[in-house]
Amino acid sequence: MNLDDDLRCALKRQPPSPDFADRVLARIARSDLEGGRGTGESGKPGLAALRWLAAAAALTLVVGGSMRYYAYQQSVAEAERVKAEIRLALQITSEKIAMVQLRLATGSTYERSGRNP
Amino acid sequence: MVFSLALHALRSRQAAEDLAQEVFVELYRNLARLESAAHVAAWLRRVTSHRCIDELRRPRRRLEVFTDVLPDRGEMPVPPEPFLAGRLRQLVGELTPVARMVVVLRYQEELEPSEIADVLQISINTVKSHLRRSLAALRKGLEA
Repeated sequence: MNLDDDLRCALKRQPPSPDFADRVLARIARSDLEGGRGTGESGKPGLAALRWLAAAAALTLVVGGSMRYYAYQQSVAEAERVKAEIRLALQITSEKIAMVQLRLATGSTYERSGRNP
Repeated sequence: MVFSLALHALRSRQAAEDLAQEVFVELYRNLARLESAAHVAAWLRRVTSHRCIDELRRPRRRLEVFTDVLPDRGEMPVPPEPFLAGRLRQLVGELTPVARMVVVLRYQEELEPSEIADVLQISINTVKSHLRRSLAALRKGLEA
């Protein structure tokens, strides 16, 4: 192999640890609490989380594109890494859906209690 | 992509995961400004690369190895890696911060010099110059 190929091999993508997604979510949740980002710019609960969902979906598409590319060019191990990234994106999406539902439910409860004190 | 860019640049899993987390938190804060999946990918590459360079330029950086148990490079000389891939990663780790990032973007992300120039906000000639000099240094390091 020449140096270019050797470098591609040496610098191929590496996956993060399995609990990386959990730690990212925890950090985002902390960041939400510290920055008061539980509400969106319009003040509606869960808007920020909805934006995150859009990003998670976008990332899924990016990773999906990568998967086709690597399936063609790289090894089975590389495909496994991409699958892990998709799993991460889906996990983030599902967590955020749950968060949005919770926030919307909480918002509805407040609205109801405000109208009927 | 984010974690791996940071890993190859910083050569520490812990530092790379910390940096990747920061990048995703920043992504979350900037979602309103991002319009498409391609935009998100380009944004992630740019922010990750600049954060890596900033981290590498800090006077005292964290551990520069793939394991978490060895002492800092300043405290003990790092022996040459016995295998080619490891030796290459080690040599890439000895490049200057910008040159290192150029090489990682070129060979991990398969970016063209013009795309690397865009990510790092430097001229295409600077990118080509970094690539040329880095490859020469890597060849020399492998022969040593």
